[in-house]
Amino acid sequence: MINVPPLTPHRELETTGRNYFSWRAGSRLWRKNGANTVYHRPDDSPPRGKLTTRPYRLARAGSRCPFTLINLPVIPFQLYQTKQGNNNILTDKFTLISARKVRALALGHKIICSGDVHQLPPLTRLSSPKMAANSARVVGSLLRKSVNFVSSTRPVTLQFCRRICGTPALHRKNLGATGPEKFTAEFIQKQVEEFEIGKRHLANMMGEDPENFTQEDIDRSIAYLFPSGLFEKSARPLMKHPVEIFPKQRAVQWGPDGRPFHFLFYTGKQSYYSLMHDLYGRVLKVEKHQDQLRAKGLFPTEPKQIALGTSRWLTKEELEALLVEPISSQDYECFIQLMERLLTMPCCSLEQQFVMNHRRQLEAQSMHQVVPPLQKDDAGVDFSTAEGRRKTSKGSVVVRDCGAGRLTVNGQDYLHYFSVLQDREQLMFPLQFCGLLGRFDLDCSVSGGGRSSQAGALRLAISRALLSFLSQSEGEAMRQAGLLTPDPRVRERKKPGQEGARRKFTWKKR
Amino acid sequence: IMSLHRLAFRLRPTVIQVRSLHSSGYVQQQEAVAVEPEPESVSVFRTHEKDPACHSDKHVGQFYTLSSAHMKTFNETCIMVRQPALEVISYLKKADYSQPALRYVFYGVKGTGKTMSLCHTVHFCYTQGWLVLHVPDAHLWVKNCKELLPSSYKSSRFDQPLEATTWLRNFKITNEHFLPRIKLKERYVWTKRESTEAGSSLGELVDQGISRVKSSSDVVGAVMKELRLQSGQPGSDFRLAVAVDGVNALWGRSTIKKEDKTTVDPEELTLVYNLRKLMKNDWSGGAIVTTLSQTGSLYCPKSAYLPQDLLGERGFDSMDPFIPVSVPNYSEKEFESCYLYYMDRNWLQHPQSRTEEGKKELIFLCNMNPSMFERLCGYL
Repeated sequence: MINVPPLTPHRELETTGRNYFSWRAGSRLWRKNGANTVYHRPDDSPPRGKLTTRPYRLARAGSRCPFTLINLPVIPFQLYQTKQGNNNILTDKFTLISARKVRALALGHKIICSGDVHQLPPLTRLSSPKMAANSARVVGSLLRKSVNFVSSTRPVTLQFCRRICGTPALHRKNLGATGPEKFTAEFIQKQVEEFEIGKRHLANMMGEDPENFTQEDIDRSIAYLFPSGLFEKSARPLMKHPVEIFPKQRAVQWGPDGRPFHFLFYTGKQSYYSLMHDLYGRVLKVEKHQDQLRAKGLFPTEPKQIALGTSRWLTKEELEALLVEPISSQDYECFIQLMERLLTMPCCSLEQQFVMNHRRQLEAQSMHQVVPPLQKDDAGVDFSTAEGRRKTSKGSVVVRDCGAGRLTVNGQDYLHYFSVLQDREQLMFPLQFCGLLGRFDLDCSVSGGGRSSQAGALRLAISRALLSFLSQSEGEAMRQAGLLTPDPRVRERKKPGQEGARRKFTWKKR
Repeated sequence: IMSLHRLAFRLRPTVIQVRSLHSSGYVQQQEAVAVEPEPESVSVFRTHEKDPACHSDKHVGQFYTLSSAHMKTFNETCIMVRQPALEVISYLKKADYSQPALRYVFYGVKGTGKTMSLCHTVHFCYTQGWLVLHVPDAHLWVKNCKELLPSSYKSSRFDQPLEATTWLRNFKITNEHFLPRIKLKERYVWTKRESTEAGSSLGELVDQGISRVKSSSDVVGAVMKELRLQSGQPGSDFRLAVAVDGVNALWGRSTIKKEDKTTVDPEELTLVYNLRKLMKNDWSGGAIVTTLSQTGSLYCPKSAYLPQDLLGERGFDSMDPFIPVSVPNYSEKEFESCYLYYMDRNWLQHPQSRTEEGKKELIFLCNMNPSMFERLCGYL
């Protein structure tokens, strides 16, 4: 991994002293040419060409791009293009790429939100999928050129940028009128190719081996290059294989003469009915096998059951995903009933593989809690320490196995520190739940937050500390009781244009 | 069974008048719970010993019943015998009453039972036949005063007629049988027409104060002076017990304001001034038992409970040679007995509270603090 200098927005703008990264990126940022022209390069040379005369607005991560409806998490820093075609994109002597180009770059790399999949059609909608493929290809070529080649292609790429991003046609058409988007097989294939190429480029950028660049490496690199502070993980930039991004679609079901391939095509739900047909065939096969065994007299007295283990049937959604077609709930119930019928038959172990294909393992609810170690202090008394947090309070507790039932909070008696009964009840809850009330001495310290959040923080700390005195099953019981779950609720920020986090200003009619 | 909660009497500005022979302060201070006298009870938490003089260490933790002649509330009243009260009672028994009066101060964190210890001691004094001068809460005299009159006696001082009359009434009820016996030594002139001659009984003086509201504070002062003078005399047949609850109010600050919005110093109040004179140990033939209290105190931080913190410099200096008695939280045994008492009285209704785990929870939640425990059980 190359040693990349930390990316600060102000790095290149130190000479100008202006900050373009106020989040209210609006008209304030648009400045006229002339005296207020901003030079974007550290050597203060005049900007080159049309690209850099106008300072560009770089929207904050997650804002909506004004030209397209693509809601892209745009990079909060300026991505630069090499002059000489180095792969090292992040060293000095760069020129500015427009924000549009950055977006295009992102598109070329398929660095998009998973939520944007449904909005890719705006690109493809102006045209058939072929055109989409074309534009995608253009974008891909743009990527290649932008990264590796000389600036001669820049005006060309700019135009391409404009075509993709700023076509008026996009504004006019009604998005809702189009049905679900259809991707052709070629399109998907093109996407896959470009993904592979983009992956290699990314590996080169990060200085790693392109051959052994795994998905985790990709995720790591994207998280590094496009840092996002968004809470919602699915809103952050991601780069995944097209198969994961584009929903699975069925290929054309009929040949050039219009004759469908599948014999059940005219039922409307061909995969479902073929599955049911197949399943019933297997049921009959098992019955036939049973009859044969009975005839021979080898009918097993103890039928060998299929070991189901901790598995469950596919849910309706999973079945739909498997069959790539929608099914109704009655259909699903029929399917499950038939499967159950298969399972009731004595010789069903013949079809074990088939059955297990349609079952999923239940996730093991294992305890992910790190149990704090049990230490012994000088007097030979067992004790353990743990910490807990809630809202803005932090608390830590030392639980000693003395047998007195005394509590001290920040050096004071807990009766005086937590004068409200509710707080004391919170502290009592873990001990009461495990039935260990009079057994331990607690020495707590807490800071920050208010009285209720301090009590919550201490409660979490006590439960964690108690884990080391308890067995696995009791710890599991605590986890199920919710004692070990840190409360994720924090204060929601106040939004501008509203009075509080949710409260709007009083609406006045005029 | 009807029961009275232990009323936070410090916060009550008025003293309830009860038609009982004993000190009416008890009404507010008792945990009034019903007890039908069980002749053959073998309960661990109760003792049959009704006379505080006979209480000793083996009665610690047990509840004793006050006789209904002394205390008339809905049902009978019980007080728990605890170590600090026993200590003071033992000192009182052994003290030499020809020496200047000894001062005892009960102190402790909030809610540990200082006032109840005071009540126990006062009951002892009463049963011994002493004259009890009981101020239920000195804090009431320095805050929320509705009427403030400039004193007729000294122009710089202020009178509080309402508080004085209530106190006189209670004093009368408390020490009914002493009043005719004690004769005044001096002549007190109230107005041009009214005066009380020397030789008339204390009862008349007190009646004078009750009927003439305007001069009641001065009457209080006169009563205190008389008692102070007479108690040490060889001829007197009574001993004086001065019991003040919340004595730190006398040297603290007050919230009463004069007409020009300046704060009144407690010294400028007649009642407080006279009481301070009583607190000085220049008289003999009695004892002064007091309690510190943070609950009703003004401008004191909640965490202060030591005598030095609550009395302040002036208070500490004036109270200086005193016997501090610390009142701690319940011990295991005391808690146990209180718990059994509540169970016996059916005060704990919740089924969980009657189990072992419930008891442990109660211990955890109240941390052996008597008032906290009582409040907890109040809604169980």
